[in-house]
Amino acid sequence: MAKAMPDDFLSILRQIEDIARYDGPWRPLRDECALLRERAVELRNRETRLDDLLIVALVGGSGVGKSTLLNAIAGDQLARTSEFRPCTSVPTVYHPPGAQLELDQWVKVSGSALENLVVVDTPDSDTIVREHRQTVQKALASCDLIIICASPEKYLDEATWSLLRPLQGERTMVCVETKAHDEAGPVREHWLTRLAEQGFHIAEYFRVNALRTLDRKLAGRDEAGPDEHDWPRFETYLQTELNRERIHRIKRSNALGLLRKTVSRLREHIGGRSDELEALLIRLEEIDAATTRSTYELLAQRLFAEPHLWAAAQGREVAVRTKGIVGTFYRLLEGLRSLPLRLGGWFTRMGRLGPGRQAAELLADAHIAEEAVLHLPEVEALYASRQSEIALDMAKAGFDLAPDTTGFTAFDRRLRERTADVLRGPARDRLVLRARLLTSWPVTLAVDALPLTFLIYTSYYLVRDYFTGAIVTGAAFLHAALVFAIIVGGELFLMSLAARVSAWSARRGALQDLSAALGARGVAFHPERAALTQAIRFARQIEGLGGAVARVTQSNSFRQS
Amino acid sequence: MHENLGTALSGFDAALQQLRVALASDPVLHEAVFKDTEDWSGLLSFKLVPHLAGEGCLIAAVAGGTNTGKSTVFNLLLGRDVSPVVATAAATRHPVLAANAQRAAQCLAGKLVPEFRPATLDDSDAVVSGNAGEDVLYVAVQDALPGRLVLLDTPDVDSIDKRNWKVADHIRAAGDVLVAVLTGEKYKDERVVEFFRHALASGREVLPLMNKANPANDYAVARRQLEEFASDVGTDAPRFVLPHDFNLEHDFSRAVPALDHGPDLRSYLESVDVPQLKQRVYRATVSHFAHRAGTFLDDMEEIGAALRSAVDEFEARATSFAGRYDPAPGAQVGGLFHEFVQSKRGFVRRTIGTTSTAAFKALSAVGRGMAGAFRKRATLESDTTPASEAEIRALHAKAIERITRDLARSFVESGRNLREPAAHLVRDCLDRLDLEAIVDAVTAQTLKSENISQEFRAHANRMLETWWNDHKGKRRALEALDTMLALVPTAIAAPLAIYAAGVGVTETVIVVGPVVEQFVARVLEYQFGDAMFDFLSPWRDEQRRNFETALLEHLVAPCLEEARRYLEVFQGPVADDLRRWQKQCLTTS
Repeated sequence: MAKAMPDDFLSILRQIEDIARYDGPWRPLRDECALLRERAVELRNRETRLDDLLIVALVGGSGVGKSTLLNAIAGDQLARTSEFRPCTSVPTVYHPPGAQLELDQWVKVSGSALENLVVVDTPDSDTIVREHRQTVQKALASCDLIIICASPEKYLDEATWSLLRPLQGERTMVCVETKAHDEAGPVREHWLTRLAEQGFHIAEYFRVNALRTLDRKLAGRDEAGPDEHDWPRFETYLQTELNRERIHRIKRSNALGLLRKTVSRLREHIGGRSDELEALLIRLEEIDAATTRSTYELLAQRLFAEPHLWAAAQGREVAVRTKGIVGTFYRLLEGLRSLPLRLGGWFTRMGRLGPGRQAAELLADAHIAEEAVLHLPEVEALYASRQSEIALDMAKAGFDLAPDTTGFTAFDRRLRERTADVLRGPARDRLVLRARLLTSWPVTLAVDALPLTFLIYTSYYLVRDYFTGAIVTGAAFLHAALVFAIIVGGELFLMSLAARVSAWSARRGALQDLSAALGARGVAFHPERAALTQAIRFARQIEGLGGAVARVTQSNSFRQS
Repeated sequence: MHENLGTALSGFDAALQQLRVALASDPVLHEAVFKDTEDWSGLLSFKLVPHLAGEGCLIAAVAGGTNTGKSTVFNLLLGRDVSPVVATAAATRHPVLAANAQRAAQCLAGKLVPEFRPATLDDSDAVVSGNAGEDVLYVAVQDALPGRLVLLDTPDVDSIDKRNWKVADHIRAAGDVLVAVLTGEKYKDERVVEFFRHALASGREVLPLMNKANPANDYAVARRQLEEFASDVGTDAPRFVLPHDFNLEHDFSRAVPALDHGPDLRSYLESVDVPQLKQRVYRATVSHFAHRAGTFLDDMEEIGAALRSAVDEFEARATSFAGRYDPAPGAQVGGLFHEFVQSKRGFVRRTIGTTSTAAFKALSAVGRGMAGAFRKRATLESDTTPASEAEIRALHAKAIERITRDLARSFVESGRNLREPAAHLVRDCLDRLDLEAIVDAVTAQTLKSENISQEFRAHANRMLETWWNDHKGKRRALEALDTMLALVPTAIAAPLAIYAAGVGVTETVIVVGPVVEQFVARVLEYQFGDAMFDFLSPWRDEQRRNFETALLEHLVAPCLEEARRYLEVFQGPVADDLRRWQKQCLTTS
């Protein structure tokens, strides 16, 4: 029973598939994605076809004897051979009976004795018929094992090598010298040296003379002659060495080679860039913090620097809670004082209410929706200016962020929410707390004590004079009223003063609340931050893939045979 | 004819050298321009120009794919073992030239094949060891050769050693006759067929030779293979054949037979009518050269056009970004016309105007104060319009900085989308830019003055002054209206006041009259002035132009510095020269 690909491999593959789906604005990664998707599909394919037959492609220049080699393997004239070039134009697929194949449009010949192999004889890779090269590429894409066929004339031809180079490491390769005439020519040494120079790993090397073998087989002789050189070894290789287990190993090693190549390319292009992106993120945070600070200063200078606003709000809070004698007068006084406010937009241009006024209402009434509130045009200008800084840096790092207003809209919304929350929440609580304090029973009693005492005192004299029959003059009434007015007026003045002072302290406190509310990170530049963190995540992930691939390579099941 | 052609060729050569020098500093551009020019530009310097000097002999080169037996054929032609024959492929790494003593001396003096550095062949292994430089040519003295024939052995044209391809290209340029050594495996190979097709197109004679042929049925197979090769390449020259079972690597005394009982290869080469062939080759070469050079120039023009369009696009973008700048003078701009008219009044009228303005201002200050106090209570707002000049300037500076940065960003982004060869020119420049410094420079140049409102005022006054001097009729009407406005209220009010209230009131009315007049005049002139003169948009246009100039100077110019420099090469005098000489070559050939 064959083992499937190890979990490490599958997890890397899943990660690659995940990265390949990236459709964000970071150009360097997006440029990789098309290739990555292709590779991911191929890896997935290879992973699911571990149990299929081994597809062997015979590849080489025109006339080196690929078709003859296939015929020699089969012992029959399967593929047409000729002295005129090019000969084969449609690949011949030689497979064991009953095999399920997807290699459409190609000539299929059943009856192979090699029960684990499908041998594909490809057209040439080098003649003026250029379509043949494409056919070869197609065959190469679907094969697992490449048998490079060559003659002394063609083993160094660029045309064939250029087809093989992109597949380095992704396919197991075997060299076959097809026209070996005499003992040990110099070709073997030279060919293998040049292949090694260019980084090819060759699993096996055979010198055969396919024509002689075919002639012998057609003549019905079983015993291979000495003039067939490595043929017996080659035949053994195909028939017995390429057993199920070996095939698995080849397929796994191919898949791993492709995986390694994919990951190393990714690391080369993306991997080293995460530090650069991190630095950019730090810069973004700086700019974000600076923007929020400026916005805070703007709000502190404008909305929160209005003594009237706070005094009015505090006055209102006090007025609705007051009780007692002085309290009633205070309520009347506050009603008069807030008259211009309550007349709405009568005294403003076009009846518009500015953000200050809106904030005042928000402070006074928690149920007002914040949509229309708190729009400061300066904030927009400030944001746009800071955004242009970070956008330039990000463009330099390879991001394609279309300049739009969604970033500002989100920032504006968040800003309003937070400011409104402060105004409705802690700021209002401070006002209410102070109002409660000013209108609590002890304060009310203390305030009312003096006028009450005076009233009782006056009443006492009035009652006593009534029973003694003394005549109370009108001047006495006037005098009493004046004294009462002075007492109440003085206390009203003190109460207003207290309300003002508490409004001032509430405002100071609310500024701290606002500073805390805006101090939290991530208020501004939301799209930029999202794009950047996503890119960093992928870059980090890609850096980590290198180690993962190394682990898979080291695990026993993938040791090269 | 020859003189003209000579001038044209050497002119073209000189201009091409200039182009090379001009582009040498940029490898990418150099590669883009000079890609695939080896074969014909080699013709120019190695074949056409030297041959005008009159060095004439038949140069026959043996060429073909790896391991087809080029060296064997070469040795057979000489009848001696000169070039080493090795069983592995791509063995010959340096070309070998064989000639009689006189020609060999000529060659060693660098007159025969000037593209190579000639060296005497002392040790035949040097040919295959390949340690010498790329341009080394070994010269072997062969006195058996007639003086009019020089033979060349070449490296392969199709192996993975691309260095050999280049040498082969040079040899093809140098040779007059090319012996195409083929085998049953290689006669249809794309690289081989292309190589000889090129040779034929550039006027060389190609002689196909089938090596390792099967002599059965009078070479029936080889005959058909040669037929196919000849038709692929397009030659109808005589064909030659070498059978497979020759023990050729040791016995060099045999001749290379023709396929159809003609003279053998050596005799054929000796019997060639050299002057006629030379002339034909030369003519075909010039014509091939001129055509290829034409294509080359077309491609170059295309590169130039791409550069030009990139440059134009960047400049257009700068203009459109400058349009985003929306300068506002900040301070109240109404009443400029009124102030101007006031300054043009005569002494009496001006005194009346000044005093009444003072009175009007005092009155309105009181009113404004009262209204303001009340409004402040009502709206709970502080004033948000920028007050000081410094604030206005800072606002402008911010806008300018932002637009400049946006433009720089758009350059970075379109730099990525540009295609080579323009792309790297722009990208490199962009990478080098110090954007902070550029932003500062642009801001400084655009906002020349510290006081923007003042500048706007000066601008408006200049406009008004011009109008005042240019429109005498309207000016007089205006002055008359102004005087009337000053006197009419008083003139009407005074008698009425005397009649109605007697002495004392009259003086009041005389004082009040001008104040009323000032009010009316002010309203009228505000309305009239703003409707008649558009102070703002010319000023805005001027500011935008300033901004655009600053952008072009500080941002666009450094970005496009390289691109412009090379554009100068592509669309400048060198390109014109090349085109002129190429046309002359075409017409004379």
